[in-house]
Amino acid sequence: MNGFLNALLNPEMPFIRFALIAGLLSSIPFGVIGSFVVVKRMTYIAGALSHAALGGIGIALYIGEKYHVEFFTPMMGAFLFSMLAGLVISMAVISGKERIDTVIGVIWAAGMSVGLLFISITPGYVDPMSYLFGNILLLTGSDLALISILNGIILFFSFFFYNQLLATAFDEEFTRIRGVNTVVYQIMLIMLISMTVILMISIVGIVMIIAFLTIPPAISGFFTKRLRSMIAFSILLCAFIMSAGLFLSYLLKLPASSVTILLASSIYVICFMFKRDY
Amino acid sequence: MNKKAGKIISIKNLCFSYSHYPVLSDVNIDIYEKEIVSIVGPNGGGKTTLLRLILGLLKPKSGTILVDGRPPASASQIIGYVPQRARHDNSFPITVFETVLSGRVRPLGFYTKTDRLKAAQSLDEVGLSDFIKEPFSSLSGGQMQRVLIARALTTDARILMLDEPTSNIDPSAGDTLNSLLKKLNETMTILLVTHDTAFVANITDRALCINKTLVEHPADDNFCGMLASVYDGNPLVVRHEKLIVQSDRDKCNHGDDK
Repeated sequence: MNGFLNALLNPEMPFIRFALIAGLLSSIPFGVIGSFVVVKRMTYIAGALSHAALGGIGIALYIGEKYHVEFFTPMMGAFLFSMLAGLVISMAVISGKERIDTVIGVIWAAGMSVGLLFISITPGYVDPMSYLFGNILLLTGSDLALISILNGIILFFSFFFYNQLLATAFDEEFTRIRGVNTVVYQIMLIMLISMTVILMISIVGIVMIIAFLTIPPAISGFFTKRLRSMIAFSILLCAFIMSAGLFLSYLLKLPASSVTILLASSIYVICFMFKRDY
Repeated sequence: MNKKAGKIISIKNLCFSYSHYPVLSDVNIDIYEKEIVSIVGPNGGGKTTLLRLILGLLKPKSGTILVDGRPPASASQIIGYVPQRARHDNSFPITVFETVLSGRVRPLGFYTKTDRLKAAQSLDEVGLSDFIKEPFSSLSGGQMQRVLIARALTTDARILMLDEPTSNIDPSAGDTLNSLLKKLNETMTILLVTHDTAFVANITDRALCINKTLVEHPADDNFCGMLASVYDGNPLVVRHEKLIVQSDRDKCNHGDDK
């Protein structure tokens, strides 16, 4: 424990400090957006959006290396693909004409395939694992600033439109009859998921995004019966798991993302086994 | 027919089809203030479609619907809607009070003190004030149905529309619901879509039997027996051929309908 604390305070090892701050800051988008993802049963939508982002990353890496286009960064590729996928899924949800699980499956598989295809033909060596699992220990101060901006956007929308988002999530048809444009709120939620995915992908990786959008809110769901409490508990739980995961990975000298996800999954399994109806 | 006051819902020559499949054909009906009207008929006969058209969730292919003299979309504030309970996710983390309060949701903005007061009054009206802090998911089927009615009452509605209100509730809860609807009918028009003719037998003023076309029956002391005799059995498997003159049918153009 002392070794970890010393590393945190060591000015020559800012990456551990940055990783901890990033973990704590990212608890907010994961807790807020993740709770909506879980109660709306949108886990697969979050999965599809994050894998679609990989497609954008692959194309951006290829164009960047092959044609030396510097402005088209992997982050921009992820942004374009994830937003596009978000729009397609939103349209499918709203129109109700296509089976939504099919649309999600197509986007998920196509996004990942496009990503891996372009990464494989990109000159030089790119490790796709870095995008799947990220590396929280490679974060910089500007990454922390980006997460802070995302937190501001998510807190703004979830605070000012909480009642509308809750009503739409609980009973879309009734809320629509009450004169609320539920399509706007459905698109808003999918776009907020996309934004969370885009920013977090380079920080914690695709797998960790899916894990943290679902596991802490799912655990919170065992103990809370209000969405507001679920969000608050998820944020705290996320912060705890991120910190504990980082500590364990330091202690065991294992990859931080994998250790953190396994810790979250273990807590979920334990809570699931011992849960009771509250 | 028990015409207690002026018309509140007026439907003229209404036709509706999903793609080219006709669902409602030349439906004409007037519903009056403070009536209780039941819509009965077989699955796929168009009961819920008619309800959704009156709610403004669907647009007619032809014909008109007026609610309080206005198109349905502009009359949403006077309609209290109670959807089928089976549609709700029972594990959704929401309290009874939050559920009722969501009846006052607006396109933008927060709930006011008046909204909270109205939600509490509505809960009191359905006799569930003691459950205000309870999770919605912890209630019985009948209690959930009453919470959804309380949500519909928060809007000062003059018309209460219920879609299959007795689905998944036990008979004693059905009796409580029956009494509640009778009480609410003192000030409101009530429109019920139901499979449960026994439930509505002693409260309904009229039954609208619908299977693509609509035939109206007044309620009498032997409501279920009357429906059974008219339809040679169960009104939920009705065919209207015997009751409708052929020339009055198929006034609607449903495209490629064969």
